[in-house]
Amino acid sequence: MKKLFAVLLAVLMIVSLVGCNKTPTPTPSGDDDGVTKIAVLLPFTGDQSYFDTLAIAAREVNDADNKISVDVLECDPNGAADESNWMGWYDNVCEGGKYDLVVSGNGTYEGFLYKAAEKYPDQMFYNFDRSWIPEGGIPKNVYAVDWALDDLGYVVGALSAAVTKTGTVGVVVGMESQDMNQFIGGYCQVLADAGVKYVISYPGSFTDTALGKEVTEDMINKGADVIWQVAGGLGNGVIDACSGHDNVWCIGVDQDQYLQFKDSNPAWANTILTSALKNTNVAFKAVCEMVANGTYKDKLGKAETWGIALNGVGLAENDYYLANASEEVRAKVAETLAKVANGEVEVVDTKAWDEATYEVEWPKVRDANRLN
Amino acid sequence: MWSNILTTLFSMRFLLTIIRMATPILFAALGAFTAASTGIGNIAIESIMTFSALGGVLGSYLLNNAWLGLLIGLLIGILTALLITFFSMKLGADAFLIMIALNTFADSVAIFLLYQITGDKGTTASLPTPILYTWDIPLIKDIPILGEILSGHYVLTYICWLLIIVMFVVIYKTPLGMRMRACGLNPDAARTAGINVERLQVLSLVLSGVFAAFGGCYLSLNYLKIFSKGMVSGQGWMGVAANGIANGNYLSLVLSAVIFAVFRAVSIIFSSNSAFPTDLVSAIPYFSVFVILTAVSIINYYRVKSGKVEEH
Repeated sequence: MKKLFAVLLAVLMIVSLVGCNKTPTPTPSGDDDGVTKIAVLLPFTGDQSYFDTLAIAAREVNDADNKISVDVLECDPNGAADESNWMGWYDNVCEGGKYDLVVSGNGTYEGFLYKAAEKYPDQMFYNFDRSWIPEGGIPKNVYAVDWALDDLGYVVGALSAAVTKTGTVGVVVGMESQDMNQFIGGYCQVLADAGVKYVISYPGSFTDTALGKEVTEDMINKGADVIWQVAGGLGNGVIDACSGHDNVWCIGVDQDQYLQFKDSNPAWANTILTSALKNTNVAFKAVCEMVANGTYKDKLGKAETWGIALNGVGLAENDYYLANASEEVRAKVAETLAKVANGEVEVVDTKAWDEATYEVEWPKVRDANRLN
Repeated sequence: MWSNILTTLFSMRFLLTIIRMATPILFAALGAFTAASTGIGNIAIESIMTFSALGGVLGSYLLNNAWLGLLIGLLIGILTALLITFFSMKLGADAFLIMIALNTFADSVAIFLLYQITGDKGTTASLPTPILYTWDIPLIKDIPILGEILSGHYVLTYICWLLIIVMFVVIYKTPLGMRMRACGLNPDAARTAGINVERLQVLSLVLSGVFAAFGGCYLSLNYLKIFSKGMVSGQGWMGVAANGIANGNYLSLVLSAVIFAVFRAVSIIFSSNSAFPTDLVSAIPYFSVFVILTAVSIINYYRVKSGKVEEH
């Protein structure tokens, strides 16, 4: 019996090792068939955030346009960020020029993209979420974008200030870091200007749903009636807590969370006034178009920020929002959107600061009108 | 600001938060303690909670009844416990390794199953799931203050405290409990006395699985309305740690589990306060484990040294 078990274990280990090395089998295509081939390398989908958004956008592009064909490849289901695994995937999609464009991104994985860009100088790349720029700048075969999250936070803050009846609002941020705080720098700024008190909570987790619920109950008890969640899976607890109170609105993040829950969980959906969107899909579709019509070359070697003007970020204006946000509120939001897009206001952007400035300036911004 | 914190710490609301947060940790602690009473260190509590949390929601969705969902969740807890006993007792593998393996792949397996069944890798939010309710105790709920403390909790919270009392009676007041403890103290002696040690160990592991499963189902079927990936987030480990601190003492088991809940609740207050470095907030409950364990071992060391208790 023991021997059998040992053999079984050995087989299992071999199978799992083989599993690690499984390589993608992209459908080969000739370059001359007029079809633009795009490979999207995601670590996984199901993050309820931009990996999902991109996967859906890829499907929509495939359905809408038979001149563009997108393959979504899930390379790293456990998010291990193992270099040999990722480079294997890149080798596979880049060798032989099978694809016109290779897409990937996110701070944890973009290093592999930059490496692959160096290794395959003739391959075009698109980095859909840039956290950093390699020494020596963006490689000249890469277009790297990031998102004007500072502006997004500013708009959410303006909306919260217009909606609140108690004069207190709140935001739950998964963890405190310079990158995460980019979401709420503008938020704090606009609320402080408007004289609205805000509660900020950093529960220190992106998964602990129960903690998210309790943190939110605490905020509601402090009087917050518009609560924004920027906390991944923990945010589900935030939505749950808000749905238990009649006069409390929740604001979702990354994708339209009202639509996400509308059919399956109406109680949750009905507490979500709107969502702060990072429209990775809009930019992705634009990039697909550019590759297809040959204008993408102009973008190579550039790092750009997609903001409100390009519809890179914005609020979800679904039917529920239109029905529940008063005309006044919507006018205020439209005005804020226009102001930010025109550059009339200087929005606090923590990501633009160096570390020393951040250390000094951030507490001032954060605590300007914070309710402790 | 500090006065704000103090008012919160001594408010009714804070007490209710502690009660809500203590429930899963108490279930986990009870599970770890029951297994430990027969000498088995069950460190798979976290993974059993994960499996059951998912199983409970899926069961509730498929059978359209939250109680049946709970039953499925408990069955999954039992099955996982039996799986451990099968590998460790029948096949002679090291139980700890099996449990480590379970913990390592619990989250991934849960996500895999979630995806196979719902097509979503994050939550079960796409499944309309009936959930268990809260319970307002008639009469008691009208008593001022006391009613607020005792009434209106999640139904599994009541079951949790009931089980704590039941298990106290079983372990300390019945012949079965005495035999279980005998297995834990000295299995060879117990065997000589004619006790079927293996059978009792299987029983205690299965019970342990049931309690852990209750904890998981509390999270996904009662306290929250969904399974969300990674939602157990170390609460099972806190139960295991509570058992480590208790070292066979039932009262300190319950106390340490509640203390962990208190620290979790304290971390909520600090998470929204500038006076406290937020990097450390999430460490508060775990740091409290460390401090309490250290304190307990220092106390034990001096008690042994001064000859008040014998070392065993």
